[in-house]
Amino acid sequence: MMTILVVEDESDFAESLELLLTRHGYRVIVAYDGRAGFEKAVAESPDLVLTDLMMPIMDGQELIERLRAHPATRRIPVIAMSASHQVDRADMLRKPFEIGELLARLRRALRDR
Amino acid sequence: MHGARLETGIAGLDRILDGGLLPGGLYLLAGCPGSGKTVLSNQVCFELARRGAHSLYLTLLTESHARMVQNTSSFAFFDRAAVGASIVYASAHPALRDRGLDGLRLLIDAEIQRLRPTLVVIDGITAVSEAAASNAEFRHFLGKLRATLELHGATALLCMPAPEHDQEATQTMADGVLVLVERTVGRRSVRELSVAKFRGSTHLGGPHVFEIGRDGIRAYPRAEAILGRGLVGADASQRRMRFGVARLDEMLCGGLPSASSTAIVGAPGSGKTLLGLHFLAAGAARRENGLYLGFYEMPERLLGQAERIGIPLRRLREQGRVGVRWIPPYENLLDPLVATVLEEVERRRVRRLFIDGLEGLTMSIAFGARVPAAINAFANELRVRGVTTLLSIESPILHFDAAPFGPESAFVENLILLRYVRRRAQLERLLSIVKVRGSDFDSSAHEFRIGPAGIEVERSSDSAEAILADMAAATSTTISPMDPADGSPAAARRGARR
Repeated sequence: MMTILVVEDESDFAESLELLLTRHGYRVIVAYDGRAGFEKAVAESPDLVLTDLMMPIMDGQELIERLRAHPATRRIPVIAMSASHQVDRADMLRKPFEIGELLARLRRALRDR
Repeated sequence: MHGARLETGIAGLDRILDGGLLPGGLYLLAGCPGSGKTVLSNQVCFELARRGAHSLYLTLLTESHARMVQNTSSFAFFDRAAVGASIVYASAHPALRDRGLDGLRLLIDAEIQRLRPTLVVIDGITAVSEAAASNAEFRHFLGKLRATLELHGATALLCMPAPEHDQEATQTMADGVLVLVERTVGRRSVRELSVAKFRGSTHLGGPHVFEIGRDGIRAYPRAEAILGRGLVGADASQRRMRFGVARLDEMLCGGLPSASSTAIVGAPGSGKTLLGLHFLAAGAARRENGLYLGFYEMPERLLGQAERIGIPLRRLREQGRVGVRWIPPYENLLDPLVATVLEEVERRRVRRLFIDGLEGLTMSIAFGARVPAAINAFANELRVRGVTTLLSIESPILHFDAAPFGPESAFVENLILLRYVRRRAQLERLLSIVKVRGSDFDSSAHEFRIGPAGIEVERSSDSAEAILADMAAATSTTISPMDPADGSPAAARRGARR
């Protein structure tokens, strides 16, 4: 079973994602800010990290940089979600998004890793 | 920034707040769902972003950030590049749920230190008071929050539902309370903003109308609270403003005193609009800018009407000499209406203003009792700005009693009366000047006609006297004796009632 780490400060949204992804056969871990997300990524080595960009304590951008810099997490694919303008990268999802789009992106990222 | 103020950048609001919020203060923004709290908070964040300042928008139990950003993106103040850069949206709900008030406070402290925001919005502060074990714990939380804000010079806006649902603690601890309400007047809903408390500063008390449009929120301080405070210069009324109607200008000893307000009272079709157009055209000929503000006459019809009497209103409008503004008289709010007119007066440097239909102003929604004071303040503001104003007021078709209009008559300095009188089978028109403040005038009634050159007033009052005498004689033989002091129809009717 693939494990996905969801890093999202909006708890309702994080929990909805957790429910959805669990229903689609993934194991889901949730963190509510970038720092907690980084700690869980190091500890649990998920197959993919799905993170928000705007978050308290540590934002998604910094989380991605730390994941890339750490030997244990360097290779984990990351998909970032954002309501802001920074959505021009292939590994980003503009909020709000379609569930189908999210699932397709997850499958692709897990396949290509 | 304006001295030691944090300007919200919201038109009208900074005026109400006497310059803006006080930096480092903790302000409550209270209102029911849909009252405009989120728009107002976001607008301030984007205004600050435009000035290079940062904001932190923390939510507790509200719509998702993605949805909020999407909803906000339809406003002109929205700038996607600011989202995530100058404005950071973050949820504080997990911290509150998992670690309680202390956890939330630590999160806010950390975020303020990390982002150094000028403004912190906490949307849904009620969730904190509900999570608190006691009032004392909530007060303690607010006290600590205030200290953090003061330390970093950050200002906080705490959004919460209507104040009656709130614990007293919040209002006691806050430096200021802004209340947004939406109420129904007739069939229309009206938004109002009031400042219930504003520590350390004066402010404009009472409710002020605000609107939410494509530009976001715009507040309109009550007209009578801000207008007409200045003094009219001693020489402001020294000049004479001619109508360009030969005999009338003579009757007025050269024209209306400048920076005064004049009512033209008359029955429908008696020539009020034409007289006003003469006034604007005479001003234009002297390079004085004019503005026509109408509620009933659509611009095209007005332009045609002017052309038929040789007033090139279309050309004057194209030249920018005379502005024509038509505001349909439905569901207007008085304060925005007054603000719009004053802006146009300022922008066009208007010297002569013709408001065609006082009813257009008095029928606007201003909550009844306010109308006379607000219109008085408006008229005085125009005087202060040196604008000579004409106002047309409708009277009944045939009979004119002494007071056709109500308390707003207080601001009318000059009064011109256009009357129809029936002479056998004919309706004749008479013009009289009833008053001109601080000036001589010819009070005798004069017959006038509307011809190809517009309004033409008879040189002598003889024909008017003959008409009145005829009419009085007819009335006295058929109805009742004539009032010896006055041959007017009103007097005749008074006689008839005796």
